[in-house]
Amino acid sequence: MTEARTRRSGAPDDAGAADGARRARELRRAKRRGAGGGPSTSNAWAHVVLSIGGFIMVFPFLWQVVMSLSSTAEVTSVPPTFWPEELRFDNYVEVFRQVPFLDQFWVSVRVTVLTVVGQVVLCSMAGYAFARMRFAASATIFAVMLSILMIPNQAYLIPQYQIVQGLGWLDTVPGIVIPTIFSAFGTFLMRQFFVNLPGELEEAARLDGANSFQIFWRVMLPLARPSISALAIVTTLAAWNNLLWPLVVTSREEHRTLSVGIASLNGQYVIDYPVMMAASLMAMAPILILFIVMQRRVIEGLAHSGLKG
Amino acid sequence: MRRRTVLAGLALSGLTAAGCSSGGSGGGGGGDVDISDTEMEASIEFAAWESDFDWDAVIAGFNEKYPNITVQITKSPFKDFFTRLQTQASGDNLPDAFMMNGPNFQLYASNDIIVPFDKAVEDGDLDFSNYPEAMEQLYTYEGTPYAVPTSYDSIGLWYNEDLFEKAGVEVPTEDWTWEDLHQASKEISEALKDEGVYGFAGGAYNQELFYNLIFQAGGAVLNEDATEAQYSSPGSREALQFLRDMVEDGSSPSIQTTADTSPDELFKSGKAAMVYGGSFRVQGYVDSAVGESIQVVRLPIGKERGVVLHGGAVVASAASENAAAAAAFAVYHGSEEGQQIIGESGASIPAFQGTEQAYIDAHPEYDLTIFPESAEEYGFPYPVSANTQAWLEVESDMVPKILAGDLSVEEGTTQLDEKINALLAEEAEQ
Amino acid sequence: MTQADTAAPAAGGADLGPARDRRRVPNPDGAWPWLFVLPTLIGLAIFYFWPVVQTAYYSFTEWGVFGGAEFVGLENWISLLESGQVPRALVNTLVYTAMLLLGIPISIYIASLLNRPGLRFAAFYRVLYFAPFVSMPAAIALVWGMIFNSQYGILNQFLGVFGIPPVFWTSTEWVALIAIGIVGIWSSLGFNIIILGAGLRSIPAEMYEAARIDGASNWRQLISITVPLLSPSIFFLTVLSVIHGMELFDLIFIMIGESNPIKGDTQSMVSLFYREAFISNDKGTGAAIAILLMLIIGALTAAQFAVQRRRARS
Repeated sequence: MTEARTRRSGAPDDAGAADGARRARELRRAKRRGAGGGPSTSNAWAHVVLSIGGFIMVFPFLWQVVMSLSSTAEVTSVPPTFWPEELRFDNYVEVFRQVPFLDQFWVSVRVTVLTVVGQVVLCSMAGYAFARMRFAASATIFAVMLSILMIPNQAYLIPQYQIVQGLGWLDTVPGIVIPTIFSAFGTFLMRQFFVNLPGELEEAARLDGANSFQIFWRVMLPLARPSISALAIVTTLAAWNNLLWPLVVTSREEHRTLSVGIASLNGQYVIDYPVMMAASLMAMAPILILFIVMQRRVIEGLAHSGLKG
Repeated sequence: MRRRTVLAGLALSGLTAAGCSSGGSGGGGGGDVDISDTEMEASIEFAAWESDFDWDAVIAGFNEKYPNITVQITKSPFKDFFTRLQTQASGDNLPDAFMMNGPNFQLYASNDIIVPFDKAVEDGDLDFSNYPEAMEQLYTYEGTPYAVPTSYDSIGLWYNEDLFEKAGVEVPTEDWTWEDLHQASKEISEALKDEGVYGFAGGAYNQELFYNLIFQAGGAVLNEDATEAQYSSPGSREALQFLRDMVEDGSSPSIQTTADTSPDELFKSGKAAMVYGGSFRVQGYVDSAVGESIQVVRLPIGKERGVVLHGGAVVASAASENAAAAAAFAVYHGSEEGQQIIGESGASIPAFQGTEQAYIDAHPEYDLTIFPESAEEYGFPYPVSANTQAWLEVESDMVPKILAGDLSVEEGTTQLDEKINALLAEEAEQ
Repeated sequence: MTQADTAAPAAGGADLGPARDRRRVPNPDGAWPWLFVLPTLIGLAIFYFWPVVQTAYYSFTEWGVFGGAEFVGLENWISLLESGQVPRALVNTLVYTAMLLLGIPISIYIASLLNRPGLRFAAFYRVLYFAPFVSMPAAIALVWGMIFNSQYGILNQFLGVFGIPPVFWTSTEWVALIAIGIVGIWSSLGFNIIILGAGLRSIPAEMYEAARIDGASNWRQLISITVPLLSPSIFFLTVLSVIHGMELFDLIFIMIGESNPIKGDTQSMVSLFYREAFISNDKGTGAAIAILLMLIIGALTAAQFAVQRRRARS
């Protein structure tokens, strides 16, 4: 324990390697014996905290589900209606009537996939370069790039609109996607990750004769899986839920994303709460399902890189 | 008068001098649009905010007259509608036709962004005597009309018969005065206090609430030529004080309450026996829990009768290639035929006089005739200036504070006038 | 070996590269770095950097909706400082940001619980904590608005059970900021936990094992092992939370309505920007606010990097 605290990066300790490996083996054996989690009481406490916290986290959604099955009157009733008189599943049907759901769903999917792929590719490359490669004024450029993050999105609205218009991309998927694949945030995220990797990896690879690209591709990128996962997740959500930009850039209903379609349900005076809640739950569902499914893979990715010795 | 300067720094996007092209101020400079060619071919975009109007039916009717014009409608949430327009304007890419409201109108008209309709008036396609006078005033800039009215709203006193019965108070009549309103509210609040019910829903809306009272007390919001604010005039102060008094003695809920639970939500959930509600509230009330226990009546009388008239309109973009087609659409939707369709949705009162029947008939259980009648008889135009939105922000910052008692009526209205006058002065400079 | 190094405290965190860079060695990377960064840089330059320059320019002009940008020098900036609204908006924004930062320790705790080896239902919990992150901001603000509602909101009903009188969550000065802060923390937990989760995975299990053998309690382990070794992730989250917090807008836009007496007092820097630029049609002043905000966030971020560097050296 004390060793690790005083260790600096870039200072390998070969003697400890064998030690660590041995301990890891012992630990794995212990886990298989079922003693890895420690005495069960300590996890009981964890369960209590996590459950209460988890309930607070999910409660607004449970409330949303209840509201989506109620009538408008029940949603705003004083005192609140915890369970509607009749379950109005036709609120969900109504969503399809008021919003071209499937069309916009596919637009959202296309936009999101393109954005994620674009960002992951561009940001991992750029992040790696800032972290591990030397080039003129990289520090300055990085600092300037960070400053882009510090201007609120709304300030970019008009300038970006004019640029996209000039490029002829209004009301198209590229128009929605292109400005968002260049991400100072994504680059920052990847850069932070790469910076924390030990330098020996590159030295070793170079000794093997690899060039910079091969180092990136074969050595660094595989290690970056946790960060890439994190970036992919964040980007997916940002792209899926993005409202103001797609709203402004697109006109035709079939070209709009789901989030825009749902927001357009808001009338000036009449907000049909139940239908809106149903719609937003329907919009959220695919992503949530995606996360549940990918979670295994994400965790494996995280676990894999963590125990890589 | 606006000084125009070439926008700098847009070289990268290949755009230059985005913005106003024609020189001079308002009045007819935007060019004449000729809508007489019913065979003209065009494809136009019509931007609207979500409302209950059956625009598809309007478009269908329009296509019978102008078969070769395709109208594609783009809807946006109301909250973001004008932001979106501004963004599009920055790229000279406004929709060919779009919905407009009072507070934003003059900004667009004074910058020659939208098409003037004087030619249409000359040719007899558009006749403003068909619409309430206040609407004509609202959508005329420097003597020229720049919009075609869609619908208008009037305000009435809605009340909950069941609650009145429960509290043992007599229901409102059309001869009620402010005092009657206050008296009844107080009684009901006291009688039904345990159930958390208020006599009067109160709130701090301008169009639906205090503007009406201001006019009824002989006050004003702005002076005649919109160069000065008049919140500190005696009539205006009286109105605000009246509302303040009702909050203070419990006749209506605290301003903090109505901040997160709007007056109409309180009314709809049966927590308020009366509310000043616009004609656009009908659909919402019908669907609510109190839909079957309510009725509407004219607003109580102050020194005089008065009601605020505001309505939407459709405008056409002057810079559009299809300005003529867009203008044709605008004119059609404001014609008797188009207005008939608008009225049938029951969402708002169609502006064309004579077509209100559709609105009235949509819900015969309520006495909806009071809306067009009051608008006609004593409607005051909704107060606007060249850049209304700017001072509306100040108004909505300060009036709730005044009504809540955080600022005295005197002090508050004086400050309000000061701030608004400063903004109006800025407008004049441009 | 690699594990411990990967998890080493922020020595490399705030630096601009491994120390060996400073030695003069011929650059083995050649032209590669440029190939790697150019696409991103060009894109950022066109879509972001150029607008920033434009915005800076416009902050010195009187720029109306429909064109006509007239150079007015420092007029906008002076009126900002005199306005009285900016300082208050700044304070509000800082309060919210502070609350977001409070979310980080909470996230660390939750993440460490989730990372316990052998914890059953971990995947299920993860989904629960992640769910808020997935939802549309507009829907979130609406639902929380209803939860906080003074008349029919669940929260007040719940408090009422204990005899606490109704609180006007969104219409009382300062309380509204706290309410908004709660929503902010709630929404950001998911993201924080993911990042921290990635960081936690790199901490070798033996460390905990060794500590447990030494008799350290869970809490002690958290403080002495987890937190220090998570420094890079924590630093990352802090920087992002500050940026994200300073850009507060959506929640205020939706939860603080027109008839709210505290509306004028509860602006954030970005909502003030939006107000000036899109409602009052004074885009020049709006641009000035945006630039001012950028400078403030830049200063805060630079300060964080500086602190980090100092800590790494010690």
